[in-house]
Amino acid sequence: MSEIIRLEHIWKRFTGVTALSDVSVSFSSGEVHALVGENGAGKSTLIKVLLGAYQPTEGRIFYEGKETVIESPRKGSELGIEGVHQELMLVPYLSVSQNIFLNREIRKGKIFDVKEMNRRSQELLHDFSIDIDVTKPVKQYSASIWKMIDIARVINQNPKVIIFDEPTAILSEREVDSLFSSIRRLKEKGIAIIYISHRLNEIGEIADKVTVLRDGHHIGTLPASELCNDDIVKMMVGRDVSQYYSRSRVERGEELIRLDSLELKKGQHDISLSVHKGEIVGLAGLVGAGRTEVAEAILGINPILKGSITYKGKPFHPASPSQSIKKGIYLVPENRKYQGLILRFTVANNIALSVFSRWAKFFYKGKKEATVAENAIRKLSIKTPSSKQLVNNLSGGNQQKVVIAKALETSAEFLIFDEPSVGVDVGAKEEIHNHMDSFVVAGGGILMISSDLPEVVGMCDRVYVMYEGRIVKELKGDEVTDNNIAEYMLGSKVAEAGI
Amino acid sequence: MKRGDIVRTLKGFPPVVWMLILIICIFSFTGTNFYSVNNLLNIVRQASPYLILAMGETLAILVGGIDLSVGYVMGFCGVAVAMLMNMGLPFYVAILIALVIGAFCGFINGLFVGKFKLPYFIVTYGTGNMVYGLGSIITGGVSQPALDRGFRFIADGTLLGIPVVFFLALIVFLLMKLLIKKTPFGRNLYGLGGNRESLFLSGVNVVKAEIMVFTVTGLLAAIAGVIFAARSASGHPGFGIGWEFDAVAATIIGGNSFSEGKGSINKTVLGVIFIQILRIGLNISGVAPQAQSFLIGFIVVIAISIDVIIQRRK
Ligand SMILES: Nc1ncnc2c1ncn2[C@@H]1O[C@H](COP(=O)(O)OP(=O)(O)OP(=O)(O)O)[C@@H](O)[C@H]1O
Ligand SMILES: [Mg+2]
Repeated sequence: MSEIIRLEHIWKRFTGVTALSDVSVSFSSGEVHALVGENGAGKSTLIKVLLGAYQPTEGRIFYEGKETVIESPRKGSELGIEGVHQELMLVPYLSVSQNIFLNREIRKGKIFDVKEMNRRSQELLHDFSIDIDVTKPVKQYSASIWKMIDIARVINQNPKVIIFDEPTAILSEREVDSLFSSIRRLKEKGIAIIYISHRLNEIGEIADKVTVLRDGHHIGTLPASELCNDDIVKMMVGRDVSQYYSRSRVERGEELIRLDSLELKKGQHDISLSVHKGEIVGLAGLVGAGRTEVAEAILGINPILKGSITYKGKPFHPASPSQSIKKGIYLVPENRKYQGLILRFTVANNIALSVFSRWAKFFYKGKKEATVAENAIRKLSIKTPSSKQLVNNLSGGNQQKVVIAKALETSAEFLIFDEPSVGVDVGAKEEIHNHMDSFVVAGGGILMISSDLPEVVGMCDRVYVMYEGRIVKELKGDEVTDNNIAEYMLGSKVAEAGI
Repeated sequence: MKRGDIVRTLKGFPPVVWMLILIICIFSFTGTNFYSVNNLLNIVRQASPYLILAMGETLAILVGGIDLSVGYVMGFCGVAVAMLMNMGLPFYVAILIALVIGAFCGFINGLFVGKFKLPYFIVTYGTGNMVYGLGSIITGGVSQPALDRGFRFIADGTLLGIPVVFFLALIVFLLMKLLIKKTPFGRNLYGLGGNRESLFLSGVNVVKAEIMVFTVTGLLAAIAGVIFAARSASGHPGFGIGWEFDAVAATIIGGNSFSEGKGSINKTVLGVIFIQILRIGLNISGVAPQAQSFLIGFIVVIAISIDVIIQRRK
């Protein structure tokens, strides 16, 4: 295995923040090199330096033995360094295949060979068992399919180095499996892989080497075989963190919301579920099983064709998010960049976004906003120089915490979390879970959509499993296990039971 | 202040400031009376309605849209105020009604783009032409005299030697600042341009918010129309034609952007001052009107290019 990139004494300073301090590390061909660290540790910054998106404030980069300045992403691309970014980077209104071939269109003479590009796109996605219409705009597909399209796009460019920044954060198990087999294939081809993830189990499974960053410092690089999860966590956080899920005992209260045989798509009218006060109820299923659609129906974004919803004992006809929020129903959406945040607003502005019009009919309460934001920043330990920082400048995990803070500020009684812990580190995940727990202890109810099975099993009192647009099973108490959920989710039990 | 700080502050100025300084320097050589009091008052008088109109346009651009009806609405409101006064209404009642008409036109724009999600360009182009057509029908294409003394005071009057219109523009500007900085209106304005989806999911009624924005744009167009009618002592449906593009130009030259909800009305003020000084400067430098038109177009394109290049560098 030969070294392909070496970083020497890299520093990166932003105003008020030193994101990387004196990091030296090297990456080799045919090796999966994991990069771990808490939210804001500097992982994304490091890879943006590699990709040419940021220039290091100090330090040198050697590529294939030669000192190189990667002055732009274009240069990085020419050198053969490609990345799957943490945030979704597709162009929403272009088709799947146009996105995959953006700037690298196949031509027949002077004109684009659309047929060939569509065929190749289909093939690439088929490797991940995703069979979608590649001529449709990506806008209509879910966040996880976006991710897979992005991955396909990068692989299609035949790079020498591929960087994955938390690729699995929004993927479900099946997709993670197909991603891993493709990473193994890439590795065999001699490609250097840099892999960032907060899911430590994955690191044990896929990585050869692990580099730990903490507060921008390089803590160490070790062979993965010599490390167990607890070691990694300790290096990352500098303290012990419980990796177990803990829930307080809560008496299940009265029914908060009930969905009766909702029909969201023609012919699929099996959506019935309930959430009581004091409960965290899971909604499991593969990507595309229709979980987000259910959440959006409750918010009044998607129309309900048939069936009824009862909220706090009264019939409830969702009309729009603003009305649902007035009734105490709030959704934490899955895609923070496009649905959760306004990136050009400050942290404080974002946290107050759902509530500011309730505070003030006419004059905006700037002071109150700042106080509320500062409390939330402390409560969720959001890493930011101040509440006036633009959300765009926060690390991914800290952006997610802002989305959660925003939800907790609404004083809702019923919260729907769509992938709540996407991209947050182990410590922060624990904190978010604690907040969910105290929320239900205080008498709220939660419906949680998550692709992270251990999270579902660890946090939920009951779980509904969706399969192809229907709820096929409700699991309670001891039935809530990884295996049970997986079997219904994948449909194997479904056929058997003839549901 | 340290030297580095000064340099940084200077670099922080939007490019339009430098261009402004540049043209002022040029005109102080070419135009003999450039610094005369008369000329300055002239700049202020002409710039006031233009500034008010452009601030409204900026709102539409900040939410990611455009309003092509403002020029026509301005003309129509001028007609309305003139005709209402000729019917014997006191000037302030006539003005009030004209403002309501302008706000209503904006409301209609907002309704169609916000609620029915039709393209900004088409909707505002359509309402603009309708308003113009309507104005032409009721006036028969003849300009309507507006000679009321109180009304004319708006245009000719001075306070402490400064034209009343200057104070009007200043008040509108300050009110807009207040509205944008201190009320949910402003937060929604930038939110609509920044990320409509997030705003919607945060429980903001985005349709209502957008209607509000366009209503204010229409209202500002009406104010501009009333001032312009006072200045020309008459109203004519064609008075504002083309002003919508001047308003867009001022917004963009000032350094606002068509996307992402970036920008502010401060920048628009700079843009308006720039274009206005350019016009008057060319005038007093004795450039022929045809050549003026060419030069303004040319300089605007150059100015925008410089701005874009500098932005990209950053
Ligand atoms: N453009 C920027 N301007 C200012 N500060 C920034 C900018 N980009 C990153 N930072 C700061 O640098 C630090 C490191 O951020 P980075 O995104 O590299 O973290 P990360 O390790 O990827 O975290 P996460 O796991 O949450 O994605 C953070 O404190 C972040 O707020
Ligand atoms: Mg990151």
